[in-house]
Amino acid sequence: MRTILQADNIEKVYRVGKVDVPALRGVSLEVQEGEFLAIMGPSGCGKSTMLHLLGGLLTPTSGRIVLDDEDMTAASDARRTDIRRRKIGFVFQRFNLFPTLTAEGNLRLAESIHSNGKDDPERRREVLKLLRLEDKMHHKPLELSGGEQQRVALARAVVTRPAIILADEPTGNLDTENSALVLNMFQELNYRFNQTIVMITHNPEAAAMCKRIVQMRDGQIIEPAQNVQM
Amino acid sequence: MDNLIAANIRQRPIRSLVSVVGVALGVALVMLFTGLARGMSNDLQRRSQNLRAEIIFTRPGTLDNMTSSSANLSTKYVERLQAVEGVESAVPVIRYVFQGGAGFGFEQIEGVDWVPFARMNNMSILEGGRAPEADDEVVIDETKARNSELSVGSTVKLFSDKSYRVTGIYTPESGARVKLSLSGMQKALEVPDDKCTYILIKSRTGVDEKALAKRIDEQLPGNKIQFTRDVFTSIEKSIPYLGLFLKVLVGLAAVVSALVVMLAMYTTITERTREIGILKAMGASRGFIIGVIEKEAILISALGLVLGFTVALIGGALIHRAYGLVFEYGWGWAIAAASIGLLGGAIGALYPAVRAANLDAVSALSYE
Repeated sequence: MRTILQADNIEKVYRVGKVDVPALRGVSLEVQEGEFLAIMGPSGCGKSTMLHLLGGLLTPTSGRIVLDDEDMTAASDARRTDIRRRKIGFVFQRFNLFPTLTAEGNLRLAESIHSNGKDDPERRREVLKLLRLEDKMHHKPLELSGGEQQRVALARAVVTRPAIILADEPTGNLDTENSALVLNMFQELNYRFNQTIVMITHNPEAAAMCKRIVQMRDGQIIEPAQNVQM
Repeated sequence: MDNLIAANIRQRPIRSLVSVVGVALGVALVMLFTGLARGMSNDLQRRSQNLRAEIIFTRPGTLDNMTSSSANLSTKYVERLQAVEGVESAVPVIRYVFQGGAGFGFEQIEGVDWVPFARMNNMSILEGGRAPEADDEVVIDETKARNSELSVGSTVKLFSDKSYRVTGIYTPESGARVKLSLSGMQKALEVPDDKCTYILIKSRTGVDEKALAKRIDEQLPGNKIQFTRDVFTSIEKSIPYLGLFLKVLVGLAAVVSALVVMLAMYTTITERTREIGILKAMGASRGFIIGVIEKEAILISALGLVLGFTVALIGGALIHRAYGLVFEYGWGWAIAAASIGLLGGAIGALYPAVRAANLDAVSALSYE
């Protein structure tokens, strides 16, 4: 197995007025290809900041992040955007689908951004079938249940074959039944396509479905990482 | 991406419609104003081309612009002009210009001695009519008869409230659409009975116009001698600052289009902050985001163009039917209006688009 994501001694300090607020205090993390990793911790421990840094949405105050052999910290904003476009799929707690587009339209938009207008109907069908969304293709987000919306968001994230999926509390807005369904989908993607996934969660049951769990507190990772028996 | 643009426009139909109407108004205004100026200019030129007289003799300062109504030239010059070698005939004309009855543009009335005027210019009265003889009689051209629904025996009001009887309809149309006798015009305007605005001069066959004009100038110095083709060239040149006014109008239309689109796109961007954050998270480049917003603005502007052209065409036709004003749309102004609509929209959307592209992704994603 090779390391697909490596974060070395990441620090992130926010400036609030005249006060420096440290969000991350020297976090180091390695994620192997095909890994399904959960990052857990209480609110305010720096999980979301960590995920935004790993996804290139933020730049660290210090430290280094390498994704699939590309140094994100040394890259310009445009370069980080390019890396994100080619290698990262995001899934958010609030689904973040485009409300004016159908499920298929959301997927096509992702393809359009990823491949400059070229679409891959075969891949789209495969993903929609895997996530059991074939009959929802022409529905807009408001016509779908929360679980279905999150599956569409997941489909949108994977349709472009990213190197890694970064999921921010993907079951945070779902009931138990839909949470289980969505987590099963994550697991299936990881199992069938060897998809690397890093998921932030509060939910121990969700974390239990991952291959490895990392605990964070006060902007730091609490050692050692815990390997989950599958 | 194209679906996203269409979906965005459909999402807020009223705002999209207001933006489209804003662009359309600018385009329609440009088309209507320039169409009217061009229509009037061409109409005037067509009518002036039917004048057979090559030279216009007048006092300095008269006929410098289309709205001049002075009658300060002595008709005694007619005899002296006819004595100049190469002159076939000379006919005095009084021209009176007034604001159109509909409140748009202006209209003209001419006072002429019909028989020599018609002989000079190869004009004739249609069957059933005759030349004006009494001071309260007029002849009109076919366009005037058609637009004002007049016929021989009808009465027209001129000079505010004076009634004139139509004694004939003449053809081809030439100069003013309504013509009185010279004496009738002198009385109506209360000018001495030996005054006119200008004298039309027709040269004998084979006589060089420039040489004739030079001879007239030498024999009757201190007067103004112009070629007919130069006097009635273009209404845009004849009305002071009309060209500048049209250019200012075009500029204002561009500013209005740009502001309408900018305002619409600015509120759109604020409303869609979160969606822009999602696009950024998905890896959309700054160019992609600017492209989405610009394409939306250009699509709105294009719809505005179509609506604007349609309004101009229908509006022009309705005004023509109601008031007889002639609209002629030229490709040059149409292209200018189209460029204004599209460029105004694109430029107006540029600031909101750049602002959207520069949004911080994390802040945008957490925008409520």
